[in-house]
Amino acid sequence: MNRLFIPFLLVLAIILLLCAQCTFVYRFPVWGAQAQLLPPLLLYAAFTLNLPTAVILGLLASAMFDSFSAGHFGGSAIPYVLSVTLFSGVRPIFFRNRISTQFLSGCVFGFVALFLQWVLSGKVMVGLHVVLPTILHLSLFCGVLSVLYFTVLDFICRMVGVDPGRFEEATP
Amino acid sequence: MLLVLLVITNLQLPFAERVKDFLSDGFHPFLVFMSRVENTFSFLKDRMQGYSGLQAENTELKREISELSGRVANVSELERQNREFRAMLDFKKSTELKLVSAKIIGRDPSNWWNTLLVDRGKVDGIVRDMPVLTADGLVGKTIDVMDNSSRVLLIVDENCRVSGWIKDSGTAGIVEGNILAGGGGAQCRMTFVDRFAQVKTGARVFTSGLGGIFPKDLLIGSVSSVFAGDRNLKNTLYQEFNITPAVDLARIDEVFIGVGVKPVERVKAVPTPPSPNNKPGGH
Repeated sequence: MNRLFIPFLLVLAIILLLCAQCTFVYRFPVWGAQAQLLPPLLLYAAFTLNLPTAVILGLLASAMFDSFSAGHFGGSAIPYVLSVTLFSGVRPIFFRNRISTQFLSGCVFGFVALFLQWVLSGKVMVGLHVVLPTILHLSLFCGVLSVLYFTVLDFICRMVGVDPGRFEEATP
Repeated sequence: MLLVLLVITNLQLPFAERVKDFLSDGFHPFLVFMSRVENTFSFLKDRMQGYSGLQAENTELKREISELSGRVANVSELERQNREFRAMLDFKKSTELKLVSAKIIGRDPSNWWNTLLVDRGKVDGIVRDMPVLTADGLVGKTIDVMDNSSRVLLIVDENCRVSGWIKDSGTAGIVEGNILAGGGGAQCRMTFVDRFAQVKTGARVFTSGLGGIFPKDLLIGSVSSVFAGDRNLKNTLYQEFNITPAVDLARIDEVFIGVGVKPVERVKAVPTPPSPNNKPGGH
């Protein structure tokens, strides 16, 4: 039960955040752009779950995101899965519970995911000089959201007796 | 004692009055003081007694204020919706287009696309490339149609191109979205405009009807800035304008999808040729 709690929690969070993003988040633009709520959540998955589970969550998030977006289906799969894999790989060298780690990782994760999304969206004709400031602003916001997500989700996990930092070491 | 009593009761009236006044005046400050003390105690007593009642009353009043504020906000929102619906109804009656109303149920989660999701789909007769509009003007066109919902590409998206013209000057061009869109500041630009055309800021841009998707004379927006003013026209093939959409795309909740032309209007628009049996005075 404990092993499944975090994945289920994250699936629920993905659904809720995506619905929020499609319905009212656009009313509160971050530096003129629509905030992206999923990349920090996938960072949490990458830092908390094992690689296959995190990748499956990345694919699920990508499928849901693309089904709501006008972009082609699967367009977000590479950005999300690549970012999840990258951060899952470097996880052992990071101190997961430090706020600085969460913030900086959130920024980098957001930048990689959003930049790849833009490249694969087929709108590269627009020009990097226009898009880059938007991506940078959104990445910073992803960093802030990461700290928030880690705090809230870790708190929820500990409330039900699951230690998210030690999920990997849990006996199967 | 009896003697004193007899003297006092038999004092002459003026003298008795003076004594009475003297005593009255003498005691006046004490009376005032006592009266004030009494008032203070009485006030404190009332206050002590009414404090718990006042607290309850205060709580109740606060609750009522909060409830009434909520109602006022609700009424304002209903008024706004009512105005919008009235405008939409008037527009629906007055236009020659056959319209299907649709509610916006979602927005594109990505920053690179400007699309909406509406609650009308194939079962409502919606197909791809139908114009989407409000009473204020053009919103976009349908690009994906599912069974019960459709995706609408907004005019502020770079992939949406509309043939437009400015009625005042008769200038034609192509209106397309720009990437700086997304949220409230979304804009379009009008390109491929004759470089010698004289266009002023604020001029209104309408659909030209060319292209087969958008009907003629739907308001797209107004010219917000003209690029040609600060460029050497000799080096350009055409000029460009920024267009502010007529519809506030960040605030709309309901739209119309143009599914065709009203049958009655079509009959009016295309008169039937007179048949030999229907000639005036034929009977």
